[in-house]
Amino acid sequence: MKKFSEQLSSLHYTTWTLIVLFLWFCWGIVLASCENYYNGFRLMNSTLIRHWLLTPDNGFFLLKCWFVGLCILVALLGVNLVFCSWNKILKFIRIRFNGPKLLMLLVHVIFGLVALGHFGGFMLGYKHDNVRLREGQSFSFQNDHEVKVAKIHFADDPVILKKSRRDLTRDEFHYRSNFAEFVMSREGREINRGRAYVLKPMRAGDIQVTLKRFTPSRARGSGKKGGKPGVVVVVSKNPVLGVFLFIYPLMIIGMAIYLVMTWKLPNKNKANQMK
Amino acid sequence: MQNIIYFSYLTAFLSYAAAFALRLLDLRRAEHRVGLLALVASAACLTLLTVSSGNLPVFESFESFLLSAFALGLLGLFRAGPENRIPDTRTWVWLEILILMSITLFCAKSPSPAVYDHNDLFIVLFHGLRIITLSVMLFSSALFIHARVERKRGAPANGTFHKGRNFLVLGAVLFLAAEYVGIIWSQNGWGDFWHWNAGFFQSTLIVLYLMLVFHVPGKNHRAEGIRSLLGCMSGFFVLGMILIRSML
Repeated sequence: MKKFSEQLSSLHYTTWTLIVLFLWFCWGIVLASCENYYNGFRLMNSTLIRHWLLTPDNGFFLLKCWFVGLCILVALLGVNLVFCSWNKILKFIRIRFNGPKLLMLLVHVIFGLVALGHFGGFMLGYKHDNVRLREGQSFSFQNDHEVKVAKIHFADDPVILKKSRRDLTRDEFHYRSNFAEFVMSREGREINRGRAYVLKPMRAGDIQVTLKRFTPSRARGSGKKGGKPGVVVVVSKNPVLGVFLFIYPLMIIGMAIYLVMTWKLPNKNKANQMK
Repeated sequence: MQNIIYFSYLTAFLSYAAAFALRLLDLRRAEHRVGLLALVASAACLTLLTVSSGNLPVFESFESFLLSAFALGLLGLFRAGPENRIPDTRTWVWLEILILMSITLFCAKSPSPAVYDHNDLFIVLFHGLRIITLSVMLFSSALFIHARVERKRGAPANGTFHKGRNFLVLGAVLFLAAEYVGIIWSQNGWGDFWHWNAGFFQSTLIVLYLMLVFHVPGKNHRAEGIRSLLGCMSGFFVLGMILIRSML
């Protein structure tokens, strides 16, 4: 039993899992480059992975196998992390306190939590992508929630909305001046009202309304007199987002402190060098 | 303006090449001065690109590789300690800079377009940190290459290996910081911090590569060899990933 636990916590196990995971992502890149599977990945992005995975007839069986394989590999890495961390903790209790090693253990534990946060983002909450709305229109979603576009303020010439996102210049599109005002309600009662700009979403608790882009107005010619532009929004909820965004920088800070603590060459190695 | 950009770019390129040649000839004082001239010319070119486009030179391939070469040059001149035998760390640094500058030959030598969101803090930080990561990783690669050469000569190289490892960890910290601001950018722009596409997979490959380097098992000579070989390749791996991403 002890030997088995040692194997599960070994660096050989880590290395081989990482190599297979590396190759798995290489395969993912190849799949994402194929037109057929590219559409499958787009479908994955448009909803929560939990829904995508459990919907039986959306095709892309190979993609589902790839995703399940990915989850298994990450789970194997997680098992390795748990056993390795546990062995390290036992070592610290038995032997002695070592600052950098203890810090590295902490970084590993946080890494495990970050990976869990990622997984939580795939499985928990909800996501409604590419919801197209115009002023006055509303969208209903989970738990009797509704988001309504109270006002669309577009200060620039709507003609530019025919251009692709990358072709819009600073002089043409002022992304901090154009916004949409949303009213969020639950069971008919208003719970929040606020503005969402491009790259600056509106948040109501865990629920986020992201303004992806403006769309040209329906009227022909779409000049300034041809009606107001519409909006494309994402309505999403990720209950672990706050924790994830908090622990991720902790991991980076932990690594930076570890680097500072171990920057100098240990005396033992210096002595070897002298020889 | 375009002519001045060309002129400063050409001056920088030729000065980097001259610095490399002078290093090989072991003319250290001349090499140091020409290296400084290359950095000044690069800085001038980058400033002109910034003024023309109105955003930091971190978006298009030409400006970002030029910036990366500049940061690598700074590290090479001021952080690659005095070494006796040629080729040393700085020799490899100049060579890496020439590789970066050679890539810029294939790019349009013009300022990046004034895209509406190129002044957004998270977008600038994401691109900027990735460029600095590339420079730091390439510097780490140069240290590992030098350490391996020294070891083959039978000279002690523990200090250089350790320095290479330090810059590799620093590169990892900077890369993760870039990923973190990328996560915020993605969350604000698309309502989710992860996307299933080739770009995100490539970033993950870099993280996995770094994890592999730091988790090579064993403390024997063979394990050290594998570790240092992966360290040598780290900068070039990141460069390859960035190049592939820019082509997709």
